[in-house]
Amino acid sequence: MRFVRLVVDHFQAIEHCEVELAAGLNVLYGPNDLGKSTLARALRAALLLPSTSTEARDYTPWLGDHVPRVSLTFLDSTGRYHRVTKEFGDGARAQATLEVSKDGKEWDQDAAGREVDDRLRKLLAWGIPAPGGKSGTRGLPRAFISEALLGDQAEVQQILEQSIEKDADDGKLRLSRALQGFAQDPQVKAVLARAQAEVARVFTDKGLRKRDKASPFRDVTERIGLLRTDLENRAEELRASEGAERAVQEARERLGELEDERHEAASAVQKAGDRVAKTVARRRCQEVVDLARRAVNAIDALDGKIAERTGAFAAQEREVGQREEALARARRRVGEAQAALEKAREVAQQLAGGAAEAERKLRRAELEGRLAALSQRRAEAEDRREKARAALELARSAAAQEEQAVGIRGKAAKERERIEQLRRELEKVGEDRRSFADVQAYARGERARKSVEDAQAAAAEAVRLERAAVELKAEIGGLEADLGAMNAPSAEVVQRVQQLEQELKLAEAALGGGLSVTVRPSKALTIEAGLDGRGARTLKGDEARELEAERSIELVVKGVMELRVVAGDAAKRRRAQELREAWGREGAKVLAAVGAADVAALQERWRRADEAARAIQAKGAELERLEARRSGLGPRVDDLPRLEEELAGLTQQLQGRDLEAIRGALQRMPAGWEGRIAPTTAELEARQTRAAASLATSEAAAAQLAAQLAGVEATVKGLRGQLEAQASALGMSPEQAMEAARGDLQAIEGEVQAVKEAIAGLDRDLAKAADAGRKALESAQAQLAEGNEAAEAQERQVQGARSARDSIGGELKSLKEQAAQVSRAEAVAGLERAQAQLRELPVPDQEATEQDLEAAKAVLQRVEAEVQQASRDQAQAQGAIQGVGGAVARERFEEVQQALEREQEKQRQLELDADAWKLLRDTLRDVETTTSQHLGRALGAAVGQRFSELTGGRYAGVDLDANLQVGAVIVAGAARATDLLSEGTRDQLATVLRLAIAQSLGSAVVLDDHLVQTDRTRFAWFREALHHAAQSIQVVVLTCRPDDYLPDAKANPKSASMIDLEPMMRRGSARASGV
Amino acid sequence: MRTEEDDVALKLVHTADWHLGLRFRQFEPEDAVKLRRARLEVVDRILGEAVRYQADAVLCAGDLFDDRQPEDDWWEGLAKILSNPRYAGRPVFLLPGNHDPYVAGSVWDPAHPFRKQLPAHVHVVDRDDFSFPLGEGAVLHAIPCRSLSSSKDQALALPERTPGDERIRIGMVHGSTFDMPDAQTNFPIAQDAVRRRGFDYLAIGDTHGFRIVPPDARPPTVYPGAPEPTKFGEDDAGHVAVVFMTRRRLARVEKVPVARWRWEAVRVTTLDQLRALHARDGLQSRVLKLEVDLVLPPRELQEAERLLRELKGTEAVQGRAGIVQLRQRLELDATDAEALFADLPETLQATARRLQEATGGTGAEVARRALQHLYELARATRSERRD
Repeated sequence: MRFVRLVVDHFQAIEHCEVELAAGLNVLYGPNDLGKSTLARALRAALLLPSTSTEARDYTPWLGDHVPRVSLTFLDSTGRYHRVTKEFGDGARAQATLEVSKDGKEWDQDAAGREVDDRLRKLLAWGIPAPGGKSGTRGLPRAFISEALLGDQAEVQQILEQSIEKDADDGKLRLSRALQGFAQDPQVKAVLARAQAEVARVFTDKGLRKRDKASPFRDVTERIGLLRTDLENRAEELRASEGAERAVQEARERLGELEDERHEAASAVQKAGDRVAKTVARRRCQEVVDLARRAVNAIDALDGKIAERTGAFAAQEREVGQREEALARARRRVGEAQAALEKAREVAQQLAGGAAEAERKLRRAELEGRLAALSQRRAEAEDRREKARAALELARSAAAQEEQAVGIRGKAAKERERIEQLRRELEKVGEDRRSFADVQAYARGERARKSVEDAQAAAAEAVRLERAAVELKAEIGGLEADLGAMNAPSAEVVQRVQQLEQELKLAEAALGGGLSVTVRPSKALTIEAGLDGRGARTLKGDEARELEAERSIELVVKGVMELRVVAGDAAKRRRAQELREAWGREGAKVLAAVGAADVAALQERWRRADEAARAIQAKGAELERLEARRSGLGPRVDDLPRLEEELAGLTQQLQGRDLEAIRGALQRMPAGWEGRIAPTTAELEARQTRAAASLATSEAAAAQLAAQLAGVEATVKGLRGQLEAQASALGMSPEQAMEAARGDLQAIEGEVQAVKEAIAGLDRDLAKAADAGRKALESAQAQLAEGNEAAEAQERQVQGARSARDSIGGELKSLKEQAAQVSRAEAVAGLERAQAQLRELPVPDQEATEQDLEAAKAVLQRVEAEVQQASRDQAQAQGAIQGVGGAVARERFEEVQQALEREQEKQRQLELDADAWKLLRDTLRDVETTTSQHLGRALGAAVGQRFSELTGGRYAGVDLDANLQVGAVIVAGAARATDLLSEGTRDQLATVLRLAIAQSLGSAVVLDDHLVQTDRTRFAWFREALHHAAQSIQVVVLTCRPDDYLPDAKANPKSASMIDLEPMMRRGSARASGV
Repeated sequence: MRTEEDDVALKLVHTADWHLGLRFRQFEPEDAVKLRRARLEVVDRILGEAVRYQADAVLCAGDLFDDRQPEDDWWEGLAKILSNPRYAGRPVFLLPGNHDPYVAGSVWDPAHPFRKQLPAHVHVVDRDDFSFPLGEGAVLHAIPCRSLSSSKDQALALPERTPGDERIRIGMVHGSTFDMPDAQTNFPIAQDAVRRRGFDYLAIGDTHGFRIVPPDARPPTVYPGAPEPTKFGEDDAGHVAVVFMTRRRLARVEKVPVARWRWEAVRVTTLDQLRALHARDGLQSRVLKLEVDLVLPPRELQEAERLLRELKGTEAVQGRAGIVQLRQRLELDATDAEALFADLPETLQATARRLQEATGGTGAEVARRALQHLYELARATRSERRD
């Protein structure tokens, strides 16, 4: 803080006074009772006393009813002007305003009334509580800092007893912070400054990491972000690639497993088929064997029957012979009986004699003759009957053979029917196979057509992508051209330039501290004045001017002199110069190289270039995606000629076929039929094979039956021939012949009976005639009858034997004719062949049925479907692998991963570095705070050293407690209470302390006749000390002995502002007139 | 007595895996530029070897570009080298590999300006039935890669030797022999494909180290490897294969070095190791992956910093090593902080003590780095004070 202007009106004895105060030492002098202390009091009142305070009554002007008024203008540490104006009066007469200004000319009201003091106390931060309230003081507040800076003349030593302990916190805090810098070792300060600069480069004021353009994290974070995005994309590619690779591997393994399964299933089907074929073949062969065996057996039975019939025929022949012999004997006995009867008749005739008798005898002889004729006819009828019976027997045999032939024909017809059926089946299977092949070809064709369409669409898409890629490349080319034209520097270069500029600003700022030069030309001059390196302004004339700057002031009087005043210590100046040179070498060169006006323009250039580079990168990524998509389409497009060729082949294959019918058949195909093409084809082939085998077997059986039928038909033919011969011989059919013979026999028997009864009547007549001869006659007749009966019986037996013989002979002939039709040797040979075939047929290891075979085929069909699916999966996986990155994706992922790791390590190092700088700065601050919180320790060394210098080493130091209360002074190594010091020494100690506090705070200090009891030697020391202090703070001295301060001021007029108060002050008292 | 050399009927230079345009993103940009340029420069040396050996042909077995659409610099640079009149008259065969597959829009596309700039003696394998007579007694068969990845065996897709064909048959494909990891999806190549297809030499590319698969195989299947390494750990990279085919169709293979750079990973855990590395000859041609793990007292720390600075170089000064990829933990040994900071103001000493205490806690690394900053700053400000 620095006072600029003080205007006092109607304040105690002062009617009006207006003082302008300069930076540095201001010596306000005047004689005693002029009102210097009143002026100091007015200044204190302006800053500290509320306008309504009752204490202000003391300020009542000695003359007139005026309101005391004070106006104080001061500069704060930030360079802003404040003007406080107070009118101390009762009630409404009390006024207060606080104004603020940037230039000391244009003012804005900051506060008014009661708020003025509250605002002021906050602004000063001297540890004075806000007015009013519990902690607020009444009257003029007395805080440690206010006492140190504005202490009253009468209470100059008050500061030695005062403590900051009970003051408001802001005062202690401000002093504590100020003392940190005041007490700092230059090396500590340098280290802290550097650490702070590093922290400021990286962190915001709130301690967060900077994210702006200047942040060192920005580039690396952005690069990491980009790399992470890139890595995610690469990882996605890699995952897709590894997935495709796994799919290929799994498909391959799955196919291998299924191939094994298929092999096993096919083997099982083959075994089952083999077993079934063997079983069926053996069964069919066995049937042929059985058939052949039955044929041989039939022939053997025929032969047996022929043999038996031959034997029977011979026996019957013998029987006929025997019967004929017996008949001959019986006929001889009949002859003998007739001879005996003739003899008896003669006897009887002799006995009966006469004509009647002769008639009877004639009649009887006639009857007997008829009887003999009847016997003959009966024998003939019986012969015919036997022949008819034999013919009937022959007819029955022929019918039996015909019946057998009918049976064989039936079987043969069935076999033919089966053959026809099998042929139709065979044709149907053939047709099915052709249809199935057509359907497959048609379906493949449809698929091929779709694939062709897909591939054509893919080709169109590839062309579109190609165009898009070309456009993108053009855009990228344009952007790259723009980027090249920008001539933008790298991020590192921009960062370096920024850093240089920042460091230069910091270094130049570090030079700051405030310079004030008063120019008082002794004659009219033209002076070129440059402030802080800004453009020069021209000062003309001989007026005194005060020039103020932060870092440098240059004054040039052309042809006379050039004066350059520079703030800051040598090291900082060197540092600033080095940085300026570095800026010239690097920063300015970079700006010139890229044609940027300043760093902001450079940053803007880099930002635009960075944006262009990002746009190029984004478009490049998009281009890569397009290319990947187009590359993914490549195999499909490349496959187009092959697909078209395949489609053409399939179209050719189906040329001339009824496509509508094939399409209909395809639509009727059950779902999933394509998965069963191989089993279906195999099934059709098996059906065809089975039908062909069955057809062959049936044709063999039919041939066998035809041969058998031919034999039976030949037998029938033979029998029919015999039958026709016999029927021809009979002159009628055997049935008619039999019926006729039976009728004849019946009639003959009737006639025989009638003749016999007639003879019996004659005989009874004869009996009556001859008694003696009757008996002989009867006996002879009886014998003749017996002989006739025996002869007739013999006759019948002969006829029977002959008939039986003839029947057997016919039968035998028929059998022989049958036997002549067939060959046993051939039948046996056929049987043996069939048996040999049967033996040659392999015997299955186990019986198997068609159901077993079907079950095995179902398994095979399922496995084949799975194999086909797995093959398709493998083909699909192998196709898919061509669309992924494979090893390339892996390598690119690793490349990006390594780049990311490198950037992350960079980021980690940056963070580590930044955290380390922050830790160092915070630790340093913490250590300093710990040290400076003990205010006495922070200030004690400086105060002690100065007090020691002042006293020529008599007092080695001063013991200040933590609240800056002076405890003792050190004399010869021992502490000594300050109240034991002389008044003058206590004054001096108090002044040293006040100066030190003012210097630490960078604030003005008002010393009102403070060293009145100081000897010349010590005063000289003080004069130097005041001038030294005035280099950094404003010192306002009120004194009646200006000469004490003049020697150096005269030697160096700029070192102090000597202000004679007397002409400036109008006093309101009677005493004023005496001045 | 006739020597095998007298009997040589065909000489070939076989190379692969140039990876032109490889970005080397794991390196600092200026180092990446050096490595990228080296990949183009080595092509010049390879063709120079072909001239020196008077080879009949140069076989380039795939992955010649790192991407199917390389930046213009790379294909333009390659076209320029191939067009050098010094190399004219000797056929050069360029095979698309899995990194730079022959697809529409790629650098191999007949419509690409690269193809238009190629001189007549350079042939791109852009057909699956590519064959080219190498004089009267020899023939080359080759198949290009058409995708980044595939499970198709390109070598077995080459035509078989027909009965009565007594010519020297050379095959060229790009892919992985079945002994390589992930070979099944990276254009797998059966190890006996060379024999099964009746070739006398199978020139392949993909693996970056020189290899004959299997070793001492006759006829041989050969990876020449990348002529410049692409990463650390690539054993035996940096060569081409020079192939001498006799009239009896026997191949003899020479491994000829062509690389500019040798890549080496070094770990340094003692200052002596660092000194020894610094003193080594031939570091200019090295790409060093240097991992430094040192905690040193002040004086040695300064020396280590100097050695590393000299190894790596600065913007103004070329380093002793060609390229250094540095990963370092180079820290101040501040176990005796009292002595280390004894001559500093009390505030700095107290700060050092507190930081020293913090090195035992969770933020030890930060505290150690802060101590190092303090030490360096104290050193700098002390020298400033002296100035």
